[in-house]
Amino acid sequence: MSEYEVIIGLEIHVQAKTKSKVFCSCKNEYGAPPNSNVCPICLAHPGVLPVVNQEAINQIVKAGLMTDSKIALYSKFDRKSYFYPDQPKNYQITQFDLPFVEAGKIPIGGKGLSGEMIEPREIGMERIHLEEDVGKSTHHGTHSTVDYNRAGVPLLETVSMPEMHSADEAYAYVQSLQQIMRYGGISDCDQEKGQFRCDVNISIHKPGTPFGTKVEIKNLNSTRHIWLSINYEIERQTEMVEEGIEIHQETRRWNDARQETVHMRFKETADDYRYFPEPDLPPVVLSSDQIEQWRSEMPMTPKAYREQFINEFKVTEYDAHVLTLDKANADFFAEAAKGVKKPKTVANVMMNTLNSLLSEAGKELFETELKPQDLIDLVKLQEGNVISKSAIAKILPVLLEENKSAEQVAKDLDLVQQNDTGALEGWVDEVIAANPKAVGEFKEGQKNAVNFLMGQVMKASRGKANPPMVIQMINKKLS
Amino acid sequence: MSLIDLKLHEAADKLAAGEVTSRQLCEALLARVDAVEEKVGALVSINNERVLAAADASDARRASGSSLGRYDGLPITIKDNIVEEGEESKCASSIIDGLVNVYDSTVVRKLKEAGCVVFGRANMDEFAMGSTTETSQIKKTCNPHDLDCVPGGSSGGSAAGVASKEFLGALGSDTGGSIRQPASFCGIVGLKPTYGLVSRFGLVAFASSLDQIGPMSKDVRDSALILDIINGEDEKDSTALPGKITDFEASLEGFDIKGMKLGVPAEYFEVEGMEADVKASVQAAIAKLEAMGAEIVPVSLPHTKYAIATYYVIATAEACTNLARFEGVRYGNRYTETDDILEMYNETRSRGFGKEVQRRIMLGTYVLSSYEDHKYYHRAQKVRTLIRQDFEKAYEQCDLIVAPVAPETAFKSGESSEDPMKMYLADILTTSVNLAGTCGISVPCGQDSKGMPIGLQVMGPALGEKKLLQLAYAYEQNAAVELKEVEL
Amino acid sequence: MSDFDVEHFAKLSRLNINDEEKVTLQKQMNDILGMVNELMELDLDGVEGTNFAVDMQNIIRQDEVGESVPVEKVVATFPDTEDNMNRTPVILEDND
Ligand SMILES: [Mg+2]
Ligand SMILES: [Zn+2]
Repeated sequence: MSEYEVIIGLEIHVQAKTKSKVFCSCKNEYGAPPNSNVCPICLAHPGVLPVVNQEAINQIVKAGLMTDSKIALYSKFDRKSYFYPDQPKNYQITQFDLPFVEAGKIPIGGKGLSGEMIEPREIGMERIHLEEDVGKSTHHGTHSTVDYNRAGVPLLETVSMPEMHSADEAYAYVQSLQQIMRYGGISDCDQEKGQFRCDVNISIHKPGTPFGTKVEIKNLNSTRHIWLSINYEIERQTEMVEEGIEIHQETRRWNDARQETVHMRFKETADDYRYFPEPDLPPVVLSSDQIEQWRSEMPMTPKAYREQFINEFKVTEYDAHVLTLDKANADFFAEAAKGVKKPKTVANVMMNTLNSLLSEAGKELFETELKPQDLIDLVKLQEGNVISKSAIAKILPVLLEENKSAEQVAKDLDLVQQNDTGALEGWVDEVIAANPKAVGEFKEGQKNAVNFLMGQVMKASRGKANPPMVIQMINKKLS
Repeated sequence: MSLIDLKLHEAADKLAAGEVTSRQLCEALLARVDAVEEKVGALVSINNERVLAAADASDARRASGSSLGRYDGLPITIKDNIVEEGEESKCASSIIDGLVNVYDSTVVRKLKEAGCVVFGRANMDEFAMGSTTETSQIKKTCNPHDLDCVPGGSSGGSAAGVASKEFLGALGSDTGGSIRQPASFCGIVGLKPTYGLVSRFGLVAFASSLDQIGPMSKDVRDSALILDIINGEDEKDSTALPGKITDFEASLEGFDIKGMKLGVPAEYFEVEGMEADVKASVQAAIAKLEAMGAEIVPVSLPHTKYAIATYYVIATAEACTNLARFEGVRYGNRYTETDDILEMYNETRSRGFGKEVQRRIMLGTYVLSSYEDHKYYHRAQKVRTLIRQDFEKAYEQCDLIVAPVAPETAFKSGESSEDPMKMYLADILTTSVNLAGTCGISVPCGQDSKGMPIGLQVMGPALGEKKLLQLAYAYEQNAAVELKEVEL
Repeated sequence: MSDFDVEHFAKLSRLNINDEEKVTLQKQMNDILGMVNELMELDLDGVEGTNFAVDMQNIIRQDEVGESVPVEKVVATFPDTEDNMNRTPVILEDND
């Protein structure tokens, strides 16, 4: 590791799921024809006024509760002034000093994009505030065009504490935040649809010395780009410091074609956004009772799922992490795990065989024919020695494609294990007779030889022999 | 008596009795507009066909027995900053030119639901920034009592048109005195309602926390009548108060002034530039009220001298953001002689906004700037609290407060345009009511030696409109102030 | 107090001010600020600022989709259009 400590903070804009926009009743919808979801309010025609959408408040409070944050009993909106053509009013209604949500925690863990394990811990989240999205401008070289459908879509701006120290940790934070938003039904966090947009603040310094000058990387809309740009910046900044070049406060962006961050602009002076309280919107006052009510209705968090999996189903922390990456998967696992003796087997099947089958097929679990009950049946067949462990990998692909029972597929594929001693004996005798060399080695005490012999039996039985019984029989016959 | 001499309530009675039709009323007024508008300049625009079509529709409703009620067919003029679908609301500026509105403001919707005819759009100071209507980029409005004088502002067109009998009544808007001061200058009645009583949805914002739409009319009863129509809650305005009041007009009669306590704030009579005629006339009105049975009590509004400074900080701060949307991107005039978007913004705004508007935008930008650490804005918010508290304390001692509207009567055109400070100080007696969010009315109480009207300002606590109107009505009926007849 | 910085605040306000106007404005703005500076006289310790003009709270709307404006009506209000979008001069990406 390098001798420098890296300090990373993330500001992430998440579009909240609502039927209508945050301050007007236009549809909150991605992909509609240009300017088909606009009205005088979101176009900032003269004379219009905003009115807050209750569901946007519900969503931000839910996000706050699910991140273990403090929900403000009193919050208000502010105007943030800056001129930009996709910002119809040329000020944004946002929250300055009294946001809905403060002091939350985002748990991180699992494996980073580098493949290294991440030490499980919690990253502080400073705040989440509610604001409005801007329109979308497209640049054509000679001119630009603006579509205002997105203007006024509710945005939750989440600001992390500067507590991450590597690209992997930032990656894990992003993943965890997305999970929470998805589990809560707060946002789909579809990066391609711009529902999840990230700005990175990053600096490096030697431990024990003051923090370095921070550089901002703006508008990252892919998790991979976040990871890559951080690693690039760490390298770039380290080199600069090593060579004694001063780092200036600047904004950069990720150039994916060149695989590097590039300079956008320097921040010579602090931005002058001239915040002041939005006079068109009275404050929002929540009662503790109301917040407790929300809390009682709060969806289960990914963390709660993980804890349940570890405590109830005895899977490892890492397994729990992988199994909860996606809520549909987690629910699937929870249901299947309840129906078997060893939930760990279900976990292994899901994380290994099932996972690779799905990624080969490029499908999500919910897009297949597999139901939790199928997995229960399948594991039960194996637990009851009706099929071998290896048969699972042969049966699963069929269950993904066809609406058949596991038992039926096992029979169709002729994978039901032979537990009948008579039949087994025939295969074992055959193999012993045909492999005198291995038999000799076994008798000389080379215990590995039994595995070879068993493999031959399995081959002869075309996988139907029950391995523990075979081993027992070989041992008996050769001792 | 000609139809143009009618008050709105008289016209309503005649419509109900079938003595006159809405078309006859509107035609008479349109003829008056033809005759005198060139001299007065009260209207930014009026669409005769639209007016007559609405009048005919109203007459048809009455004829078929499906009248929308007492107000059906009444022509009412709106200030140019009030949005009506299918019309432009230029705010007397050139920057929004070409934007045909795609929605109705709540007040226009309410007028239409009551059957009223929207009778043209009245001239004003550009974006309601001014006290003389001279900052209008559309035309000059003259005071009908002396065409060389200003009508006051910013609702100068509304006031001048009522005084010149071009229309029977109008809506104005009051951010720092913009209804009361021109009403006073033109010798009519103007009411600034409690903040939130009338929806602001569709009122092009100047200063959002101060703006209120209100009636301007020939007499107090008409103001009550208009307020009956336009007040009430609005799901499109988060700052509109809940409920709806329907009996402002009905509660005028039978009110007895005896025992009512009227506060007189010494500070309002001692301001710089207070003319002797104004002071004398208002004091005479107070004496009259006392003679009618009111109890006069001295009250103090000690922070009055800070009202103007407070007002200009808060109003310009809000205004510079409210006016940021006018830059030529989505609608209105766009400067097209450039490929540079910043230049497009800057030229569009420099050409589109008049000097006064530009000054106020810059002042607002300054007071909000981190450059000054918000010191002006935060202090102004605190002084606003003190001004509110002044009123709260005063209303513990009295029911209503009486004072002048402005230190002087209408002055000659051109006097204040080169010196913005003169224009700003003209608001000194009216801005406090906006800062406190309370209500105030201007009622004619006399004229100066040159024959220019003087207004009596009656101020009331939040939602004190009923008492305010009752007192103003009692005064109007008893004092029988006769202004010099307008000759045009 | 220093002179009002006309150039800086004209720029922030998105206004072009020519040299001649600058001189007049400079004086006018200084006069106005002189008046505004009266606010500095007051002792305001312990005074809460008035953030909102009315004592109301929690004014919200239910999450229901209402009518939008038909796209052809919207497009008609744009100064310049292309494929139902608002066409503008080139927007600098690092302009915000
Ligand atoms: Mg933001
Ligand atoms: Zn909208």
